Amino acid sequence: MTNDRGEELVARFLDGRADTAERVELEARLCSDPAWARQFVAVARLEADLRQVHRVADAAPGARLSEKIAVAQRTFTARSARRRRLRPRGARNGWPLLAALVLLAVGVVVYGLSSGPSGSAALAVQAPFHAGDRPFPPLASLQGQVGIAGGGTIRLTNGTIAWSDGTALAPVLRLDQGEAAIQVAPRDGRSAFVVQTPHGEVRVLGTAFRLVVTDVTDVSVASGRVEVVAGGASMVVGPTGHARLSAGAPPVGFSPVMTVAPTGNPSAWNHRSRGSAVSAHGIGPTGRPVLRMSLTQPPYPWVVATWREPLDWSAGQGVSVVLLGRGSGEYWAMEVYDHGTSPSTIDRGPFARFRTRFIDDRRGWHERRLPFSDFVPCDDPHPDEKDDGLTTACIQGVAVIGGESPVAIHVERIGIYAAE
Amino acid sequence: MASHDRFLTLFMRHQDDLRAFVGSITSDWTAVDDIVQETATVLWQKFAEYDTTRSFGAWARGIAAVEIRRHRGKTARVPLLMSPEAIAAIDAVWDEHPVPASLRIEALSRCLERVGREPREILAWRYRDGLELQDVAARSGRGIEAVGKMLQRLRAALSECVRRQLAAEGAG
Repeated sequence: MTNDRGEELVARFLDGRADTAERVELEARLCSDPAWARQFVAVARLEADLRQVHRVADAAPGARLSEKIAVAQRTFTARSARRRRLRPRGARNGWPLLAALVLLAVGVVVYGLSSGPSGSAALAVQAPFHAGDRPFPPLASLQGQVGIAGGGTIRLTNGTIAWSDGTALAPVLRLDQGEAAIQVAPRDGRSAFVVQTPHGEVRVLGTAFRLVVTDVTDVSVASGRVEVVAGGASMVVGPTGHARLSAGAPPVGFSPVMTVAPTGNPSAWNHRSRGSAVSAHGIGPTGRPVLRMSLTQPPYPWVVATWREPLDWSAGQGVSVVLLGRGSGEYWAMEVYDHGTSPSTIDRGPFARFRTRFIDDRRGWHERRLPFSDFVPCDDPHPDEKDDGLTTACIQGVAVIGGESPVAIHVERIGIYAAE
Repeated sequence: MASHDRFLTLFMRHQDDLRAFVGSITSDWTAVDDIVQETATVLWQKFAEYDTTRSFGAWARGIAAVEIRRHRGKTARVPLLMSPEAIAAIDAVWDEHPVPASLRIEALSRCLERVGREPREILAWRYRDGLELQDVAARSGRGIEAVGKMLQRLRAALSECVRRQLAAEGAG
């Protein structure tokens, strides 16, 4: 901002602090001086971006379980206090207390009959979770390593917020925040073991998997299958599969891949259009390193990774890409470099390049499946290129291509997917 | 490309900007989603009339300005603080030096990481929780003018930080 008075007036207007005289002055300046209008647009865009950033960061995860419990407890306490104030004095210790005592007595008798021998070991058998002989009844805080009734273990990393719930027959782990590695013995004939997070639910019939809860819940399955439920939809995640749960949204699945292009290594992207760059950018939703492909000089800026030993992708149905969507509406593209029927270990060409386009019409991390049948020969082939069709038996490179606007494309994984 | 796909592509490319435009004119962010949705419906209904030699963003903003007035007429709640002349003046420069929202937001996220705890709380109350300035002031124990000034300084600093980040990436 170069105009202090303009900055002051625009800020007062957008914050709702401007009085009539200031609004009149602002309007007059906007109409007479384009520099003021530009200043207004810059602040208005920043204002919208700030709301967008905070909305994305918050990702509407809803209140976390611990907050919900605290709020519920405060509400309950306040309501109880209000009721106590409103209730006639004689009623305070009347039939509700008697009823509670009767219910408690019945509960103790039933529990005693069903639990058999007394003692902590017997209690541990009844509780949904335990650590050795120590039982964890519903809403007990869980830490470290705990056992699951019916068989299985949960390892919680330090700082994880988790609670027990459910019963021995149907244990429920409430995972508010943090990370849990879970192994569940086959639950033949019993209810599923359930994990609830602020974003959804994971139902298990016997498997090993890992959950990481932050602003979203990431589920990685090592063996067996789990069902994930969120946003009124569900999906089954199989061995080596991943799913991400966000509050109020259906689960997003990431299928296993058979072969992975060198997405974890920025230096493997050894050819780039002018102004393009590739750098490491943290870890993605399936636990792999993310590459940030900065494609700032459109149209159609590109980065390419080639490798010496050809990879045989012929067992796959197409290319699977896990990327961060922008929802820009732009066309992005991928190319595969196919060496056809003549295997080679040379550095570069003559490859045949095959390209497919897709619209960046989704926001957030997701998997794109690009069937090999959608890849067509590039319309600008190198003179030495030999087009004998996309054989997929000798793949020696992939390219990611931007659209008509500058963009940073974040890619976690490129590989091939097999038929279901 | 099919008409529907073409419309979707154009609308998605411009929807963040459209939200910014509507929000800046109404100064009522609770109504922005409704107005943008109503605008999208009209844009789709009139898409056959869209002159492809014109900027889609400018066409959409023109229709959004009409929808803002219509929405205000229906709800009598959204304050319309600007004259049509002032709106036109803003519209005339809106498309100058466009940087894609995705790059701006990524740069802004990096800049926000450098903001201290207290100012970041103020920003979160204002932009995440959508509190009015007087509510932010009450929650922070400061006066309205002091909070307004603080937000103004923060926006100026963030704006400069974003500008530098984008320039370093060659997108500014």
